[in-house]
Amino acid sequence: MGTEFEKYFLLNACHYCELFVLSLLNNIRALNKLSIIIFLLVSLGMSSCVSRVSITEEEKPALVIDLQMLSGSDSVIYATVHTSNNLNGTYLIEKPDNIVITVKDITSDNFSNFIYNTETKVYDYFENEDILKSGKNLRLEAEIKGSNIPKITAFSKVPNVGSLVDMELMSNSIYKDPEGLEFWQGIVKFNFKNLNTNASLFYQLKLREKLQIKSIENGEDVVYTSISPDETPFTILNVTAGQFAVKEFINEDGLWIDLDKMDDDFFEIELRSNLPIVLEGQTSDIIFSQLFSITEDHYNYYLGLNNIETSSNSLFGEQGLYRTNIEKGFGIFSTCVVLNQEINLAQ
Amino acid sequence: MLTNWPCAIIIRIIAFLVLLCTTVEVYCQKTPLPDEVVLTYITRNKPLSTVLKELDRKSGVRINFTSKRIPANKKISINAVNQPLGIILKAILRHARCRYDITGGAIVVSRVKLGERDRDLTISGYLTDEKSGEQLIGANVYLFDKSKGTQTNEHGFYSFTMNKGTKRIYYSYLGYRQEVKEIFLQKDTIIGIELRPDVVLNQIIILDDVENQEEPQAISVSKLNLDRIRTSSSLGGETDIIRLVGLMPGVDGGADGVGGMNVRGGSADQNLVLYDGVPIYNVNHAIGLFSVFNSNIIKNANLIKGNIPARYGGRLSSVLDVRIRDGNTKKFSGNVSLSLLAMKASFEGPIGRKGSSFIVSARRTLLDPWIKGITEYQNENAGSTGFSTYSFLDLNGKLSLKLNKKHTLYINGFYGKDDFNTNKRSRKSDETSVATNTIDTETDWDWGSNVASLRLVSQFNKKVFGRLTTYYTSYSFDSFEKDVFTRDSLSSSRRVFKAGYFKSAITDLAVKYDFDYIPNPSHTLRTGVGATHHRFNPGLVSINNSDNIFSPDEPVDKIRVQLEINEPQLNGVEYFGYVEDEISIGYANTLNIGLHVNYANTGEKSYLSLQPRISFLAKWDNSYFKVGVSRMNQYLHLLSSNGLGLPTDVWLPSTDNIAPEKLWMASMGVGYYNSSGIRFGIEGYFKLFDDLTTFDEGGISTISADTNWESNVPVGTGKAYGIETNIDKIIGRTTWNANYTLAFAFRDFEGLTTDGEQFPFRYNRRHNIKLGFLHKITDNTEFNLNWNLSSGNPITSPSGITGLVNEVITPLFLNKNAGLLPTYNRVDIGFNFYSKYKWGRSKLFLGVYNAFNKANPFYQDVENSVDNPQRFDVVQYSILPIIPSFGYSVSF
Repeated sequence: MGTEFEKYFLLNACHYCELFVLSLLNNIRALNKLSIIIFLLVSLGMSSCVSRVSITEEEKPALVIDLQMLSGSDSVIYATVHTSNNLNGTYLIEKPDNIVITVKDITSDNFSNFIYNTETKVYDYFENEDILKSGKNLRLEAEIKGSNIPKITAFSKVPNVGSLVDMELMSNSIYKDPEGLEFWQGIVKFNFKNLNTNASLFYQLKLREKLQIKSIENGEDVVYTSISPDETPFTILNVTAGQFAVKEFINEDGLWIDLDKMDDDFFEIELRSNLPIVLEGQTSDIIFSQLFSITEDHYNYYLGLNNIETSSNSLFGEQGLYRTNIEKGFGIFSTCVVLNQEINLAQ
Repeated sequence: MLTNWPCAIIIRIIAFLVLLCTTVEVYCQKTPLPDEVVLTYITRNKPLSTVLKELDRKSGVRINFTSKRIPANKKISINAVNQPLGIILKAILRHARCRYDITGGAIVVSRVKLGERDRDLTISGYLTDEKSGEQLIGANVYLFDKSKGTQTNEHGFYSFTMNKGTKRIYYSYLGYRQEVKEIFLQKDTIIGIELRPDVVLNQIIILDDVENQEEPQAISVSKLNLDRIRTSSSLGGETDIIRLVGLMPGVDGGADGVGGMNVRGGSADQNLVLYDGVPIYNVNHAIGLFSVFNSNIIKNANLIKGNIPARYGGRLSSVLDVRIRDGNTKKFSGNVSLSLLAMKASFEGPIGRKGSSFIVSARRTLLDPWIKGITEYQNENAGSTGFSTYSFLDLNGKLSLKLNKKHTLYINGFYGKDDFNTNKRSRKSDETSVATNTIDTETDWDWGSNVASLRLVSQFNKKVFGRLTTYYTSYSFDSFEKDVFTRDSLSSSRRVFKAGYFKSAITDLAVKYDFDYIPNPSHTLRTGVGATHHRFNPGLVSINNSDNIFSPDEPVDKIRVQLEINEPQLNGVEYFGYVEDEISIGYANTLNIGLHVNYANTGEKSYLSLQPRISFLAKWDNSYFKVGVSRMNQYLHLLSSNGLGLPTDVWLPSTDNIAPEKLWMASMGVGYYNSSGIRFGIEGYFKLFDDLTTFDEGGISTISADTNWESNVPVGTGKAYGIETNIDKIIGRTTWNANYTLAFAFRDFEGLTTDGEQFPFRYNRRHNIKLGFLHKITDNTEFNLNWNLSSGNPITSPSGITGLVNEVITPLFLNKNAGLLPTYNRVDIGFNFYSKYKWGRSKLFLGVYNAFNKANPFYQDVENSVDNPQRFDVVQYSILPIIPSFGYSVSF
């Protein structure tokens, strides 16, 4: 049965192939061979091209300000200003000291000015201690005197101090990499208490490592302590609890937290030190945490920048959008409060 | 044979005209039944007996009655112009509680007795193609005055009930000669009808009978018959049903006409695409240039975009129901086609003598040698080695086994596979020649869909029809990419690399039972139950050398990278049931009312969805009005950053965190049509979406069982509304259709916009004009033209400013979908030449896609300027310029 069918099929297939070619030739003959050949050549040539059209449009320049007012033990207040860059050009600010920056307390009308520092190339804060206090509503105004570039404005409410209660070490182990180097690894739990849902619940968590090197000098034990550099002393391996709040936004500046999304009063992260344990007697047994209570605008601004970076060339995400709280301009005006804590791994 | 082809054409025209005249003559010779005689009769306030006498005289039909037995003095007023006598009599006698019967060549009028009820008699049977034995879906079966009628179901079966007497039944189907059967009905009767294809020499249809056209329906459905599919212009000579669907009002065919199918503001995943009743997940080959549907095996297709009846469920926006041919039950036949882009062949024939049949089909692209040659040449010119290849293959097979008179078993299979591969190696010595730098890149994408189904169709009796279906459907996409930089010197070797692996797979196993019951012509009851088990296997991992996973000498290959992913497996079971009744009310009104119930359990949560569906159609002689409301529910989600239906999209089930998508949809429309074949329709719709999902901003870097990656998927809402108008001329040598759609669609996801407001949906064009034109030049030559002019798609366009992001100058995007791509404008033209030989027929297609070579936007991107890498250009890409097309096929 099978053989007969195969024979029947093959004979028919050959026959029909022959008919196919003959009938195709018949039709082509009827339609003028030359025109068909030209047609086919043009077909192949044209169908392989991809057009690329530049449609760039010019943009008018606007001011871009980065003004972060940090209150706390390491208070930092300064601003940088430049103008927006067009895709195809840069607008330079010829006289930076012509820029007037004022931060005003809306309720009391107290204000502070920023003055351009020609050495550091930033605008220093002309101190007014009454301004940077929790709960105050501040208004920023900045303009270039005598310029057509529009004046910019922005608002920020100084956040409350964070409600982080404590940090708890949940696990403590040594990770050995393929080259045999050993690194500290563990899970740290961050507990919050009495979260005030009416207040800003956005935080930035920076983790640093306190290094202690023991030595014997003049017959006595001496411990030298130093803080790890700011660049990513820890790698956050995983968020083991409270993922809603923190999982989507971890970058080199630390862990960005939106407590509005947190399902519990805590979250846990699994950390690994980036500094190997190489020397006998050298321990990295204290983790410094800096919890920045930040505004929602501040959070969204960095979330946007993070998204822009990670979304480029990614098929698995939407285009990251640039978020700003500056009206008629770009950048960020934010106020934040820092709270330092530490956890001793040895304990 | 065709050296003197103008003469051949003339001869064929003459032959055609002779044949046409003969056909017309035969049709005209048919004597009308007494109640089919057409006349004009206008009167006011005359006694019934006088009216009957006048009708007797004017119509020439003998009307017998006894004055004592009817209310002879009842006053009658009527205004009937060119109406059949039967309709006039029904209108008159309805109020007099009388009825008429045909006896011999005369009409007898008598009084309806109190409590008298006609015995219901049923006519049922199958409608098939005379030449191939294919069952005809959606054919019209009706009495001359259309007072009773029905349509064949998806197996060509019809059944309707009426009282006894002489009946003339009309059977009509687009593309086929109308058949008329005259019977004296005195018992239940089975009538199987074979309709003759309405073709002369070739496949060109000249419609000369408006009765063959589809009747207005309560649901918003567009029928795509085989001839419409085969005569349309095609890209590269490869006819495609999804592209044809894109020409319908309310349907957007993706960017530059490529990929995706967005119906009335819905996403690409919200279309239920059925391959012979089985859902198919990815319908695209070659990023959507072609669909997986091989036109050789398509029997018929319906697109339902509004008032979706209760028998359909599982998707929100539309149903594209594509039915596959059963195969020729009468003789072995086949079709072989060659186009610029693909070659395909199909064979079909009977199995035994009991009406069983088979059909098999295969299609493969011919692009790969071209792509390989061109890319190899390009790489060589750039001082590299390597090449790219792309190919697709699809295989279809169907067995229709007639077990006995009442049971038929269908075994159906589909296999589709796409393969894209590119590899490139660049090797360079550095300036000091002490080291050699090598860059190896590799991209490997494989994707495809598979379907297998088993369906037992049972006709229990003349009124009950059942279908037991069990099926398997799957889709998988598997991709691997790597960039490896190696620096080899005399003393050392150093390697820097990054590699990524992505997988998205969905597998369904399902069983369902559908049950049709037609108790009388006023009701068509449909009910069914089923369960579907879904399994999802998404996975994404990115690795680079700093992860310290690979030893220095270990090769970076797909299998090794694949091992690093702990693939999550998400399972879900979905249960559904429905009940639907299509009720005929009065002369020509139809009410379709139903309920679709869906239940899914995701572990901690259960989702029960009650989905009422109701639609109503009021029909008059030349016009209709319809209105409907539906509730839809979708258990599946598709995470897509592009909306094109690209293989990189991730299918997800509903989970404890993500509820099923939901939709309320309402639509209302009016239409007008006349005997000269002009049809006009206008329809408005309003849709409210809930629990929609999308990718978050920024992108996902890992999808694995170790991460709770799906828990943070953004969930949002949406709305869409618009108006669609269409005007068609459907009869004659020249047929055309034009439609205009005004559409609005928005999405609202918290946190995905900078201002917290809703944003325009990416795949919705505000204005959309489409024109289709088909003219039969000669008996074997036709010309067709399609024109599409529409607004550009909304797009998240760069603001024109740059900023420093992590110390890198980066273009900034400010608002979501706030920009607009340029207007889309495309004209396709084509000629079909048909020839007939002793052994069969051939068709040669010559056409031009995008005849005016408009650079229609596919997408925009921001790139470093060619002149100055420090600067940027917004660049628009167009992928389909003017493309001359060629296709040739033979059928035997």
